[in-house]
Amino acid sequence: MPGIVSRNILIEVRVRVMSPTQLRKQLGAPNPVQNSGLGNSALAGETEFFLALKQSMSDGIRDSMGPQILSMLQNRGFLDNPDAANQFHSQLSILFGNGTSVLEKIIIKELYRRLNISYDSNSQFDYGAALVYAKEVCSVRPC
Amino acid sequence: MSNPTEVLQELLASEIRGDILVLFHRNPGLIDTLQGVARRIGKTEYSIEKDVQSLVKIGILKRKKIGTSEVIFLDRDRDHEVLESVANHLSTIRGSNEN
Repeated sequence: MPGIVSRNILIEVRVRVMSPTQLRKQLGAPNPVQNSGLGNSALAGETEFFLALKQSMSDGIRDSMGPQILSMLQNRGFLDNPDAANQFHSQLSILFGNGTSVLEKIIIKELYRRLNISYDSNSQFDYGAALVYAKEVCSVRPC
Repeated sequence: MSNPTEVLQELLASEIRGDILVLFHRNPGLIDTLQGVARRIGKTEYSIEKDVQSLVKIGILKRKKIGTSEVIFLDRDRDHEVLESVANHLSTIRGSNEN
């Protein structure tokens, strides 16, 4: 068209391709259960579980042994990796000896109460196994 | 009993003792009979007697006669004192992977 100056404007758009795993890692969210077919609901369940566990550990220790002991354990990083059941058990055992299983039962009772899972005090107790069971329940139904 | 190690082992000697501690720490104003406390944690009066007696011996719980009933309650000052002493003791113990 006469009288109209045509200008070419170049717009460059760079898109950084990131896999879902990389994105979750960057956001600090846990990875979903592999091949579960549940996708987002499994991820939500795992996040819910993680938060409930963290809160149950704090509440259980505070309500049984008081805020001073909870604070001491937090300062020493004992509650930093709630998922690492074996490490937590070993650390507690150094301080609480035979009382460790009582503290762990208090934490699990609180966790199960939060997640609406029934707790059987007569069955044999294993802290790690109790956590795995709760995690599985959260992966198949809303917690 | 003043040795913090012994006190700690006594406090966490059984699941029932742990349940009683949680009950009174969550309800610090609770005053109830032995039967009432047992009902609240889903146990029988007989099954918790020994554990209550142990916590009374440490001083965390107190027993008092009111009329014809005997009630149990938390001694908040003694509880604070005992747990603080245990916390101080625990803070001196270092794990193998700690600095």
